[in-house]
Amino acid sequence: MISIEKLTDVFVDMADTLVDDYDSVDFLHRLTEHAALISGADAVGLTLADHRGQLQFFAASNDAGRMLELYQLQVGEGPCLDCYTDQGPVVNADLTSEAHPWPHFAPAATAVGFVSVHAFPMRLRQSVIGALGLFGRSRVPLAPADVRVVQSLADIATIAILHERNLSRAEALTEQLQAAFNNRIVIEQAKGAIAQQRGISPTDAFHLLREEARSSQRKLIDVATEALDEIL
Amino acid sequence: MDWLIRLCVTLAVDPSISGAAITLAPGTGTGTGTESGTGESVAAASDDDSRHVAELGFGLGEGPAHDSLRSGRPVLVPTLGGPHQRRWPGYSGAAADLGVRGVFCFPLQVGAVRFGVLSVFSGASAGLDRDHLSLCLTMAELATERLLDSGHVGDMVDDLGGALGLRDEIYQAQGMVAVALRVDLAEALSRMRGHAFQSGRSLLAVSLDIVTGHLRLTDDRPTA
Repeated sequence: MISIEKLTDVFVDMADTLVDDYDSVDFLHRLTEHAALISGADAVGLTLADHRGQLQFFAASNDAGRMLELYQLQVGEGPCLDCYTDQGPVVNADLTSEAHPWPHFAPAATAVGFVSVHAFPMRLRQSVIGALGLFGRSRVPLAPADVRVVQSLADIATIAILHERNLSRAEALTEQLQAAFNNRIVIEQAKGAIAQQRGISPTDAFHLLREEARSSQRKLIDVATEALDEIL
Repeated sequence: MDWLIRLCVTLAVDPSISGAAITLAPGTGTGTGTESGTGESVAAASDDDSRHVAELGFGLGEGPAHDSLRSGRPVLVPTLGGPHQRRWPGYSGAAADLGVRGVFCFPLQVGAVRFGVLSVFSGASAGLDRDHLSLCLTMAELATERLLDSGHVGDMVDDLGGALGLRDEIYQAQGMVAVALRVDLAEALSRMRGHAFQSGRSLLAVSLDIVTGHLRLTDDRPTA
């Protein structure tokens, strides 16, 4: 059961961020962390559809979340792909059950200790633009009220991608998504450059970038771009 | 540049697209893409009118392609005029005189590496639907591939949805190689692809080895 106290903190934090000139890469990364915190999931991942309609990994609360999302995309099956294709949530799926429809994904996920999964669609009018996946090492089923809360997080993720843009334009989504995908690449390039320069891991380089963005109250993408400019 | 011209002509075959042009910005393609671009030139166009419209924007120092190149974002304007008239007062009128109603600009870029802009024009104020937007983005990717590494034409089809897909390790390795070899990001990716090609491995496999410290690219230019 989701704690009201945690939930309030999370929504206040996200509402504070959404009014500013925020960075969608950073925002969605934080959203996966928030989703893990309030749902009790051990790993959360977020995928977005590219212009070919193919899901791409976008953000995760931790490495396990990233690997579970990437694995689904690699084998072409899994709860997040079903959620995207069927345009509806996958709730309380038991990965150890014989009845699961993912012959490749389920054994791989259980092999690394995950037994339950939920996936929520990022809805935009009649279509779905991505999916939020929640993975658990134990069976902690989501109650109907919890399902609504997590779905609302997925809806916030959609809003975050669109920013305040006019939602009626097909072009607006393309502009935002392409910018977000490319910003992610800039951040990865900066992680690599900083890691090489300082002799640290890309993960540690990412923490440095985030720290810098927060302490200077700037966008993650701006800090990453500036770091690349300085180093190269 | 013949190849880029063919790409523009191919786009213009579609009835909802009146023309296309590719503008290259040498100042922004070499490093991280944040320098102000000077010396933009129209490298390819489907026809003379499209070339004129593309030149117009950079001559005036304003317009959707100009904004797209600065921001690294697509700038998609189904109807010139209205609020956009105020945004680009000189450009909007002049483009309309050449029969252009809609302009759709897609940056040619990989992260912080920016080569230029693909501009797609329409004579109707109808906007582009999802399929057309997807077509334009795919063409922009093809042009970017071509500009990144013209030596590996054969890789291009395989790379679609692969090499330029979102695989973090490729871009992390790109940043690492750029620092280690003191080259720009575009050159770093070229070296990585050269190494992958020579060793018969995938770009992702090579990138994983670089990120985990199992492979260091040397300073020699690949000969492939």
